[in-house]
Amino acid sequence: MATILAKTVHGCRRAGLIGIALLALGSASPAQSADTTMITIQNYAFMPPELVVKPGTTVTWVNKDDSPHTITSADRVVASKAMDTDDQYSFTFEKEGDYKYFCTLHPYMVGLVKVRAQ
Amino acid sequence: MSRTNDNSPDQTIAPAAEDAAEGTEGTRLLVSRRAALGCMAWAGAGILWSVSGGVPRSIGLIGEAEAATKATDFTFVQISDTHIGFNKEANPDVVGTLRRAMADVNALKTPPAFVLHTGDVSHLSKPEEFAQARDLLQELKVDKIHFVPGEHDTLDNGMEGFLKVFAPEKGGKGWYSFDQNGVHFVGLVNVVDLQPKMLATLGNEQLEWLEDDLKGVKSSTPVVVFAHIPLWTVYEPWGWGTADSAKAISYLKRFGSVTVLNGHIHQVIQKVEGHVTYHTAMSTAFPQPKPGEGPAPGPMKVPADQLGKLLGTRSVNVVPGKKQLALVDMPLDRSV
Repeated sequence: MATILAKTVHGCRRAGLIGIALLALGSASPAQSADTTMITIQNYAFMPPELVVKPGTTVTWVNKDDSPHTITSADRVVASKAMDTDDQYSFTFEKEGDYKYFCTLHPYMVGLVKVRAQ
Repeated sequence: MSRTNDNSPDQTIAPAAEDAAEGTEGTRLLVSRRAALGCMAWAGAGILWSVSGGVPRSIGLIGEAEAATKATDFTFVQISDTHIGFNKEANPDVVGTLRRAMADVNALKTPPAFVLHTGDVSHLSKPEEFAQARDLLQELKVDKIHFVPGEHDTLDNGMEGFLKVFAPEKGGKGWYSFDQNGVHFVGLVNVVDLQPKMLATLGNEQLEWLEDDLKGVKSSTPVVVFAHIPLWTVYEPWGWGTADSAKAISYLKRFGSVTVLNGHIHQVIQKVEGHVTYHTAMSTAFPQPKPGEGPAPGPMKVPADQLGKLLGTRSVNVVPGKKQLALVDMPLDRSV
């Protein structure tokens, strides 16, 4: 089954970059390439837990758990609505920096997006 | 390890060695669900627990206890974690299981004075979920339901959606107190302003309010505190605890009888610490694993014939002049 990054469900913006088509063998393969803009929420963890992207990249999270999750930064700049199973959320990272985020329902779930020009 | 002066043997509730765990100094963590289920299998009916001097003790069967209830006693019910909107495999019909729970409450011989809902009323904080929950809960034959929110109720817009439907009478930010039949009830909110890799908090504003609220209450008045997330650390890796609850408990130390009622973990775990007893509750929606038994505290799928044993409500009987409150956990399936 190929999962192609297409558009966000929450309807704010379209994905800025086309994601890599993932061959799902029962679970999403961890994405290490700088082109990859998808993060999968599965088993109460963000895969990959750390992602490096270039400024202007749109990152899309998809929830594959049967529990809802959120994508939230401590300053609430990154702030998804509640994501139920199969819901998606996208955020476009314009500036360089380290963006920590967590799930407000399960605060011990944490992730990091690093935005680097090079 | 300090308990009380009650040295009588506790055969009915003594947990097996693997069930009991040492808590902090001076406390004992009781995993009572296994013991309770064992007792129910033996008795074939619900067990009445009496909290005598702060230590939960079984004193017989529901029928006997109900018969012993005096006119001046009063009973209230705790319901928790209804998760209206949940529809996954662990329970595709949370409305159906809630209705069964409400039927049990409505069938109590002593009608409860009111119901406490300890949060996660909805599953996704959607307005239609709050509305559906409100409408469903009106099927309870009680004068009043007092609510506190869970973290599933404060998604998206914080307290706004929840307070629109379930605000306390006096208004405010969601915490409040009231007095009934000589008991002081305090509802607390520990599901806002959550921070990464941290337990939930009550926050300084609420703690100051609590300290002030308790000032006028006599130490002999029984106090019941209800909040969604446990006010003691049941299991930190899963966020089952409240970081600043120690301060709240310090305000409660002088009282002769304090009963803390929580939800959030979808199972009954109890703890005794001096005059303070803590009880978490079952959900009416879906069970969750025991602390650490599994990768995460999510909905736990069980065989269909087991589900009803793991969901339910609780009635609490208050006898005037007695420190002990009698708690009765009522699973949907109580084998006859």
